[in-house]
Amino acid sequence: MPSRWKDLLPGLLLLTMVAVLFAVTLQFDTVPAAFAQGMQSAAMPQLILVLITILTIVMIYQGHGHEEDKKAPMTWRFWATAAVLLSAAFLFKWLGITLTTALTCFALPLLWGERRITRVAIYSIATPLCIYLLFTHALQLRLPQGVLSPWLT
Amino acid sequence: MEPILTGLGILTDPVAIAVILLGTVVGVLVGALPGLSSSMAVALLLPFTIYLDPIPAISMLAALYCAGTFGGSITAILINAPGAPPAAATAFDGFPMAQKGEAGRALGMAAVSSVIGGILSLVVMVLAAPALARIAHSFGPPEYFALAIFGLSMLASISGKSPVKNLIGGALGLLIATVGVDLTTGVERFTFGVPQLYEGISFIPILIGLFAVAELLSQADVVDRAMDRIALKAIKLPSRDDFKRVWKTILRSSGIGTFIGILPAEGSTMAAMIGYNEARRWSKHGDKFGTGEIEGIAGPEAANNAATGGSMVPTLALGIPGSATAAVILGGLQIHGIRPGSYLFENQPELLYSIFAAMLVANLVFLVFGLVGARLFSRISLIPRTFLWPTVFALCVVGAYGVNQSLVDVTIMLITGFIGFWLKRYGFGAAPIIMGVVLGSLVENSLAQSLIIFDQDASRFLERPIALGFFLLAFLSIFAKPISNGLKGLKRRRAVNGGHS
Repeated sequence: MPSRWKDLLPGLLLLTMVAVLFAVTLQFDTVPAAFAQGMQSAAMPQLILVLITILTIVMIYQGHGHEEDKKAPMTWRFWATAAVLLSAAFLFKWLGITLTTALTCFALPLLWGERRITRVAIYSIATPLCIYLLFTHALQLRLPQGVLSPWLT
Repeated sequence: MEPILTGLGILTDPVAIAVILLGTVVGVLVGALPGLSSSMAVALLLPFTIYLDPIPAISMLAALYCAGTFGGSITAILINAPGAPPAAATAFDGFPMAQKGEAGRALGMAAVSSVIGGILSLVVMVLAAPALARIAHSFGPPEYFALAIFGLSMLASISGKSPVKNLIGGALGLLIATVGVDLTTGVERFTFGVPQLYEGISFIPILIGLFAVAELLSQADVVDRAMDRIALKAIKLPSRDDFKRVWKTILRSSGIGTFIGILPAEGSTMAAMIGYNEARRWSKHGDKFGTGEIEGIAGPEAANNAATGGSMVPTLALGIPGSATAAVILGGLQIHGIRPGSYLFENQPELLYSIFAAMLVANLVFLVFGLVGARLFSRISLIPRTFLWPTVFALCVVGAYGVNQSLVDVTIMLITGFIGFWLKRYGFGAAPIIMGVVLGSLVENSLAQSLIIFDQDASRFLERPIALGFFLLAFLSIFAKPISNGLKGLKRRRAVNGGHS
């Protein structure tokens, strides 16, 4: 990646996204003009995508000759946190919100350097429990409980 | 008179008073916590307001907005870590004052200036919003389209390194707003066969993802740093001498803050910076700013709180958010089925006065909290990050799930959180995207209706003077700075060439 092209990477990614989405808009159904009331359904997204393209080209042009800003390094902690959040997204359906939140509240503090394991354990039980009691019993919001459904209703 | 009494009647409703107090306490706490902003707090609280009636719900969010803006100044003064961006300017002189043993005096001045700025802006809000809405009554779709474009163009000048990135963010927000079945034609757009997307992407998961999950991911790599914590004995109300010295600054900054708040998209952070700079420019002790000048606290604090009332003016009167937090509140209005603009003032005029009452109470309550509880609130920053952020995540999940009771919304929240983190890393802010999402349907519908009125001839926008005025303002807000820079460069080159010849 040339170092004197600031914002080239986000620019290229945005342009790729625009190209893909523009191709998608070409597949949108059309309706007779009388039903379209001024604009076909693809017109607005296409207009916005063209605008993003122009602005992205301006951004890339403005970044020419400038060094990329120094960014904080992404350590293993970031990737591990991302993995925990993604795992949670998959686990919600099976384990339910309360249990998955408990696991997340247990894993994240440990990943972020917390070493007082008893506190982490108490915290990871107390937080989802408070949320369960508040939302299910006080606010009458039924949270999906997955495998805990027979016990938590 | 009846709407005023009905609106102010919120102050006799125990539930409403309780939620306003809750909003104020949460606001001060969140404002005091570095990393958590009032926008994020309003986004997290928004799903839970669905269980409330619209007026207490919006009042709670408005109270949180006011209190959150003030809360940041506590940690800015005591530990030199502004709890929220609008308090950054307060730290310039607040922390040096605290180091000199004057933390109580600094906090007292911050609280009092914030309250004066906040209340003055509320008076402007209550007078200007209905007047603006009356003007907007004559607006048709072309004027609304031009106004929305003006609002989005103002993204070019909000805080952030790159105007063009803010504009791209706004456009991305508009694009997100097009997802779902087009209500006019019935055609699916970007739904990719996912039935949950037919009604479009819900606003709340996007908000929570961009504001909270993206910040959580950023916090993963933050190293805890030990901060100098200044001991606070007691808060002092400003003395008569202090008042004599700062009253002009407070009034000037309140005016600046309110005006900046009224401008679409401009928020408290810019108001505080301009308030600080103007305080320094007009002060007899301008050279001492940065070393612990009391005017250096009064200026930004009056301005950033005045911007909260100011930003509610276009939000309520026109449906164009005055700041990022106001954009979230606007989303809240929409979720509660309240349509801002002249319609609101005709059908629910009491809402304005309820919001006025809620923000007034919030200002008075945080004055008391600021004076009595600053010591306690400053301790909130001692909560370990390792416990704070997982709790935020748990609230994010329940908040995103709660509105539609759909796990798809939780997935959308996580996806937008990851995208928001990546965008933030490359200098794109969350606020412009939210503005785009909020204004998306207004832009598309008003453009479509305008084209019908104009018989598909877009050049006829130029025949509408108000629309033309907004387009000119939009042009200026995007191009004024590049043109002025270009002219300066030209002048410099001419001067150099003149010198050579």
